[in-house]
Amino acid sequence: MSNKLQAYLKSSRLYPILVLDSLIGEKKRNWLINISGTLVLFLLLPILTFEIFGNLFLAPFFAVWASLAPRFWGATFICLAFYFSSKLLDFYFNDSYYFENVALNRYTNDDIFSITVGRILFLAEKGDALRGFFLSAVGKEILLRLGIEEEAQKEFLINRQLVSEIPPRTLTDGVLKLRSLVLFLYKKNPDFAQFLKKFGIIEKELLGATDWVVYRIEFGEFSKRWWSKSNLNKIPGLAKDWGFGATFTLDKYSWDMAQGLRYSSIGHDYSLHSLEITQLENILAKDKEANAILVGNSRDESLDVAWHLVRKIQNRNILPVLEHKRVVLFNASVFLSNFKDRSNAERELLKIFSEAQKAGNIILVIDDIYNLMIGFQTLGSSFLSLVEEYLQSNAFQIVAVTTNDIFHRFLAVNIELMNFFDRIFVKEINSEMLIHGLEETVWQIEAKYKLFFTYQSLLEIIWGADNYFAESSSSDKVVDLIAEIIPWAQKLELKIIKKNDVQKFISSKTNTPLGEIGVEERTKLQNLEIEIHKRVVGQIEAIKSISGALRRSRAGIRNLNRPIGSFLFLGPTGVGKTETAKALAEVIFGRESSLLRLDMSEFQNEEALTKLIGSFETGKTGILVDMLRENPYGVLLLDEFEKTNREVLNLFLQILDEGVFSDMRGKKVNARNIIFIATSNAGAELIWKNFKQKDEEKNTANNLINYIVTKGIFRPELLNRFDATIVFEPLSSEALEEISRLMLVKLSKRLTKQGLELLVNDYLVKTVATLGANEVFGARPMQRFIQDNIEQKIAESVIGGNLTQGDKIEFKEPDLNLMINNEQEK
Amino acid sequence: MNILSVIGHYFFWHYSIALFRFTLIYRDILFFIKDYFSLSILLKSFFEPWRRMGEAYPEDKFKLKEVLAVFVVNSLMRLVGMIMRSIIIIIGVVSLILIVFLYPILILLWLGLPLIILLLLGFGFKLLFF
Repeated sequence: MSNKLQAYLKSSRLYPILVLDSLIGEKKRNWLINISGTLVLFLLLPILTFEIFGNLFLAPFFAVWASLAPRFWGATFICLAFYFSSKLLDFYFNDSYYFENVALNRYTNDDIFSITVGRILFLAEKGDALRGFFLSAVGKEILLRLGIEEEAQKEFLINRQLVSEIPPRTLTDGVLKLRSLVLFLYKKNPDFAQFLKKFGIIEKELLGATDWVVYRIEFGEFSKRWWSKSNLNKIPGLAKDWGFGATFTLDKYSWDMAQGLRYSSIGHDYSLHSLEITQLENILAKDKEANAILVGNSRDESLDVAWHLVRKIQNRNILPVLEHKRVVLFNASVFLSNFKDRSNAERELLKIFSEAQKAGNIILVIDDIYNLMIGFQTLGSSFLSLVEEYLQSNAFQIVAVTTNDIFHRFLAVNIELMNFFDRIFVKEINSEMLIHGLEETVWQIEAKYKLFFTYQSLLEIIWGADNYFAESSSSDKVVDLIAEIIPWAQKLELKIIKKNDVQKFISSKTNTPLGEIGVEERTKLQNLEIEIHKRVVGQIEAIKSISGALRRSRAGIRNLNRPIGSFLFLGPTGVGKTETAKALAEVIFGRESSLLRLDMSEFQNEEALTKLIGSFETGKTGILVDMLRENPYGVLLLDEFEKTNREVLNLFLQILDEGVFSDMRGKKVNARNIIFIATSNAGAELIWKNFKQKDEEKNTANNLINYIVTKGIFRPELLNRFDATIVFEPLSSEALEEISRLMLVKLSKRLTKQGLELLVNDYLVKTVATLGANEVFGARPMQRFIQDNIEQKIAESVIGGNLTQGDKIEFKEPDLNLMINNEQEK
Repeated sequence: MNILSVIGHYFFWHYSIALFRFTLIYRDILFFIKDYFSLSILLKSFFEPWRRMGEAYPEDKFKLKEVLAVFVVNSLMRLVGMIMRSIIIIIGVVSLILIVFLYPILILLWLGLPLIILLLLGFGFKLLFF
């Protein structure tokens, strides 16, 4: 240590404790406590045995024991002395310095730096503070959390020549803490920043990992103190319900939320919803009409606030009126499914409410209140007038749960309901707010499954959950994702989970490539045109622009709050629009079955929109909703897009813009991992006209868009939402011949399996191309032509017994005469 | 000099801050015991029927037999409730008393602990080597 640094350290009140810590640090103290404690137990064992039973069973050995006993006692006393003194030292260190300063943040004005910073500086060799950081336990932990393993850490120190400065006193307006020190070291040591950059670590991640480690230290200090008030309060009491009434009927349709608390859920970071929880507490504490309605993006998110309330009650960290309350989650669907007639349902509901009143400690949470109201309505009754008396009184509190969508559409307009319930809008949790809760959850996971997560992997989990799984509430998604990563990592025997592991997992789950572009994928992307052209003939311009758009998306330039891609394919029938979509599905997602298809001509009438997104009244789910929930990743082909009605077009306007939409229950449906391809014949006449007049250069997307807009087929704002409008030209005769050849080769392959050989000659190819294709349907009728003329003739010959295995078939001029070549001509 | 100042500060902590903190923790634990056995709720609801169960009296107060039957049932419920609560209350109160009596003993131990350690060391060495 240089003199300057030593002087700096010595000027602090903490210096003596740093010296003590360096002599007998936490590790040594714990070791001493464990060893001396165990020794005491081992020494006491023979002592007690002989002192108690010596005269009875062990008389022969008693003489030996008598000479040894003082030694045993002596050793026990010494071990006890060591045990007590190291324990006292531990108490002293933790309480006097650590707890006061670190956990309670009670630094005095004389303190220059925090104890953690002091420990780092104390370790600084050659006056180099950064070296101290690398050598300290805290520093090592931070670097490990950033995914830098010890080998690399050591290597950096060996090669390091520079000496970092000593942080000035004026760095922060008080005590220099770990975060400021780390930031200082990062800013003042370019080689350190360079070192981190090599691992792809930016300042924000360094500080994030530092915060995580600081949080662990503080959290550890708090949870070690079992005797602290907040920890004691976490222990549930005995016989709490004995003073209150039993609720037998209510229990049939509900469950006690306190029993179902998911301890490892990150939804339990109540700082996330602190405002809503305080609101809820205040409403529930009113003397009458103490009812609240929670309105959130999803029911899960609204219910989160109720979970927090339960947790606060359990921790006895709540307004006195709400102490000892039992929060019960009433399941409306289970209740309704039990009753077909009005009188029974009414009687049971009233019984439940009177029981809850009599019990005296119930907070009733009604999940999906709208469902319950509709249920009673269909039975010919009214939920509100039935329980009005309870809602008005101070009998017990009711918390209703609903979603934004339903609230605004149906509940907000119900004045009667709104009179009884105070509304609480649950704000959406954004991904940045989740990190704190996730950090806490990860410790539990790490301890349980012997895994280690880097800080960047946490960020990636949150990012992935948000972008690839848009439906449920944010905190649930993150928990679900991490729960799936655990077994995956165990299977692969991963010990450390890094950012790219999370990316690999998400890619394998979603079948969408993520992270760094691999070799295989790179070639696939570079050769996208060639891959598609293996299946699609001609349309060079069209395929070029699709490939360009997809490469942009994969390079990470794409906007994540939109679908992967959206294209409008314009052109006449049978020119390869559908085939291109199929080829894309195969190339991008690896299988043709990831092509989803909707024939938009089926969505023309008034019910079209409900058919797609479902209907609340009938409870039917929508076709589009089911399709995207089952296959969130793939290509969705919207055939004959122009034929659908305006409402549906408006829905797609939103989907193409935001990548999400709400189903009939107001639940979000994610379409951000879909490539949308809308096909349309609109403008086909114009394309044909230009094609025939050899004015192909007029067949540009711009010209066609103008034409379509002036004709009023699509509105300009919809056309603008597509990433690209792609024009498919009518097929030239060469292209048609190529297609014909492709189809005939396919047929010939099929025949080979039967032991027959079809010779695909130029005559055959040309005939199929000219006679099979037509202006209106393009290449589509060619398949039919082959079936009717070629396959039919072969089939007739097979049945007629003219064809046997090993025969060669050839079609010849003038009228597609079937010729069979074998040893003897037939 | 350093070590001396640490020792000085240690004894200051042991006989002032720690003693104060010890008392605070002690108070928290007493409250915890009271809460754990739900003593205040159980005392408040001591005479109530078990889980607030019971039957309603008939409208016609002159049907003596029925009134009596209901009275007997409800009284039984109260009795059951009182017995059950008494068990918990007794356990709770006994624990509280034990904890209260433990306090002076623990305080004495804490005050004497530095001396006890020295004595243990002294006696230990004496027994072991002499």
